[in-house]
Amino acid sequence: MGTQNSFDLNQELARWRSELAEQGVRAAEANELESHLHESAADLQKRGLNEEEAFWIARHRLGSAPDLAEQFAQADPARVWRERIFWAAALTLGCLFWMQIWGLGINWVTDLLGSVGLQGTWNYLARQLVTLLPLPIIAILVARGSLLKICAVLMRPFRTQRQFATASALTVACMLGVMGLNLWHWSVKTAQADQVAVNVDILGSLVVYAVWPVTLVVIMFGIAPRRRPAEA
Amino acid sequence: MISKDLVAASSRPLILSILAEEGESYGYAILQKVRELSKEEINWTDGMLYPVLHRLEREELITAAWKEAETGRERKYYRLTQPGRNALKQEREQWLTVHNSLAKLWGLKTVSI
Repeated sequence: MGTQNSFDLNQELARWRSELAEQGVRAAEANELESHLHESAADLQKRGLNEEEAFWIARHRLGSAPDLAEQFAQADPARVWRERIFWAAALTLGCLFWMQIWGLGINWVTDLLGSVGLQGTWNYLARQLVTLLPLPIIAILVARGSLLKICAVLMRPFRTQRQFATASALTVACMLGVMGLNLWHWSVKTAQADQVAVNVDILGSLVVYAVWPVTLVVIMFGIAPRRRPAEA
Repeated sequence: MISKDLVAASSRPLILSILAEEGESYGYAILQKVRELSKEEINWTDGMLYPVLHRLEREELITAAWKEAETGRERKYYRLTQPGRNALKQEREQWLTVHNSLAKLWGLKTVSI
């Protein structure tokens, strides 16, 4: 079993910690697990195992990174939802910017829809629907926790409650700002356009910008309580 | 071997009781103590202990502090708080009530609560 010469404990520890981090185990938790790993490995070495054997057995006894992450998550379900909602809020920001670039800055969707016979209000509503397409997909990924795992790796430094609060505040501010600008834009056009069409457009805008907050509320109050495990 | 459900349910009173007896202790030592007390019948996986310890810490039943061990490495030591002692008292009463009920059914000696 022994390949003592090629075994680098520090390298293996770093690799193991990286696996834990990828699964969402926090640094403070990993520190304690590492302390345990050292204790366990030292004990095994006292019984005659070499450094490499002791490391691998101690690591195996602690459990796999996904299992450890799952156990920490089960012990604190509220934390999982804090993180999911944080990422949902952060993603909302990204979506809003994307929608603005797509919806206002790029006219090719309008042209495309126009070329297939959709004009005026219908063209506008269809364009808004196109821009909304990714949101349900993102909502499902957030609810399943899949997106969290990807984002946890990409944006590890931003996983504090303060960051979450900042992102949420910015999200709300951006949403209100975008909605306000949109309403102002259409109210300016009221004098020049058909009143019914303008009202439909305003209603459409409100629906577009309400979809994501409503999705978040559904996730928070609909799914979270069912997933919360019973207290031991 | 004790069933998984019973292992999970007994983790809380076991940890609180060990900390009450030892004064302060750390994860690895708690795990060893449980194995020793149960003669390996209570089979805790190493990783399951820490989420339970962290939950007890969040509930303010125990406190934790990193200290340097005799090996020179840092260890996180846990200690029981006053609410932890109260919780242990309640746990003790509940577990002994269950124990006495079963003891009566099985014709064994009961213990005073």
